[in-house]
Amino acid sequence: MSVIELDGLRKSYGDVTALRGVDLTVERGEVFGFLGPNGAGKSTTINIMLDFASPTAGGVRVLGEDPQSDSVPVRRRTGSLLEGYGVYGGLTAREHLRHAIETRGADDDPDELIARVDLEGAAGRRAGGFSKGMKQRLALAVALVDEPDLLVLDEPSTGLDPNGARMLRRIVRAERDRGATVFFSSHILEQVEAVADEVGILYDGEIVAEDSVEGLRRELGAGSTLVVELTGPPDRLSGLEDLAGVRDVTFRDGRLEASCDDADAKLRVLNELSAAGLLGEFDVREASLGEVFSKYTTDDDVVTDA
Amino acid sequence: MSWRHVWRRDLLSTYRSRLVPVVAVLLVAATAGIVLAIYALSPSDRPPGMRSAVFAVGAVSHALVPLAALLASYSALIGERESGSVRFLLGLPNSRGDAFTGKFAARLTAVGAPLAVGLGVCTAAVGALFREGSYVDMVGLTAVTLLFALLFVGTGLALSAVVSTSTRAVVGGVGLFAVFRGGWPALQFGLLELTGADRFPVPPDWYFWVGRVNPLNAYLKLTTAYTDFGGTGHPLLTAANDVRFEPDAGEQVVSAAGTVAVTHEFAAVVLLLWTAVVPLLGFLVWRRRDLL
Repeated sequence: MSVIELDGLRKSYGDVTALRGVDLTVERGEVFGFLGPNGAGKSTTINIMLDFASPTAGGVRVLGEDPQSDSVPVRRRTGSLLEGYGVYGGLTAREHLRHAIETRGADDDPDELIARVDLEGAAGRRAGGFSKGMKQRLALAVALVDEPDLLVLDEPSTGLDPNGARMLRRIVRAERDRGATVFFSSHILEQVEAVADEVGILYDGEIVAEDSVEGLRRELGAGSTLVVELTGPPDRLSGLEDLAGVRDVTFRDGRLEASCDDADAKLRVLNELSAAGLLGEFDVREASLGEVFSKYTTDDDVVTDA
Repeated sequence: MSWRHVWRRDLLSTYRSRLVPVVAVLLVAATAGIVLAIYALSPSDRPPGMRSAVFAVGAVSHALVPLAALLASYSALIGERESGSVRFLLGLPNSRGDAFTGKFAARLTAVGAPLAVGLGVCTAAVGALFREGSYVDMVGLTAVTLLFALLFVGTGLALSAVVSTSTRAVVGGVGLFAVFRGGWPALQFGLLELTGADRFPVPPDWYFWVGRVNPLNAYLKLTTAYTDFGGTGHPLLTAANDVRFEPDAGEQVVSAAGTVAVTHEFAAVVLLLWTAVVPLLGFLVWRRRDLL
């Protein structure tokens, strides 16, 4: 079942077009990485999903509801940590959580949630004096109240230190394991790569790619590369490129490099080399999603679905 | 009913931000203070009368209540958008209507509660100490003044819902007050000049139709229901009738505006319409606008 469905979503502010027809589907139970450079339209998309803004055209359904007309049912099942989140300076962290728990009619323990985001020391302090990272942690704790079916995290690692980033990844995985769907927006690839099952890349108001992390690597020939030191000249080798899942075989300086879609493909190459008596030292070079990302999101080399 | 959660949370936040205490002290000190001061300054053998109490409360409230109510409400919604806490407010299962209603109720409490306390002190003092002091009429005056506060809390909230920065809300609030207090009479006098109409003995009917739809005037008119201000009415309102002795004819000549615009009923309708329509318009914009 689809948790988020965006269909030709468009948004304009006067002459400025922020979204140019975004189509996107997020399935239940997956962690969806919503990647894109600053200004691509990620927050605009999220604001429309949660009825902070209305679309100029196109359809949006979240958890089966239209958030524009039925925002409360959507919000009841959604926890959100949005970019630019502000706290109530006069309220303590615990009071923020109590208020959220009361409003949701939940029975969570505020201190348990505060402990989950490692904010125990500040539970009784007024949030007005919190650092950016502490506010992010508080917002995350608020988002977790009442075990939401959907977690929407917009640039959630902003202001978090490395420990905070690890805590965030831990929570995202735990929430997914619980059965929640996580919509994780970021311009930081490593954050998304570490947790996402599926990735959509938004560039200049359009989805330019949507696939699994591995799928995106494959699509651009950016799968992992097997590098093998050959023990002799490669004259006796042929047909390596015909092996399933193997592409772009090159020989240089006594070394073979082969782009492989998966582990089986690598094994097939190694078996061939072994049979030919040429197998020496070998190594695997993983292409980062970063290469994929920059390939999609630089102006001179934009690949689109269309 | 999640507006109640918004109401409680907002009241606590504004209380801790010192906004509520400042407004509260201001309102209690001004209303109770003026009435007690009038009593203290009167000769002990001749306590002040009911009329001076109603005049004082009306004169202070017609300027102070709008300012305090606008001060307490102008940032209610735009402030949440600017600080980003609207993401908290509407990240919870609150509708925009819940947010608007809860905020409205909170800011009304912040203004109405101290105003009621201040006017309660006035009621007790006037009823017990003033000549012809009437508890019942003072309760009536309190009710009308609270309705007046409701109008301007609603106006501040409506401003807060439609503007895009809190600076604009401040400018809008101050501007609105200036229009009601200064611009409106200026317009009336300007029109008198333009039309060459005579202000004496009483201005033409249209003058009252223009003037009495001003909510400040409507409020002052309603305060006159609780004491007798004599032939020419409230000193801050243009007299709607005039009684002169004509020496030539050897008799009194009575001139009076014959329009419904100068009646208490008209003033009540005007005040209720402003109170209902302004927040409604604000809400209609708030309900559909982009918040982020």
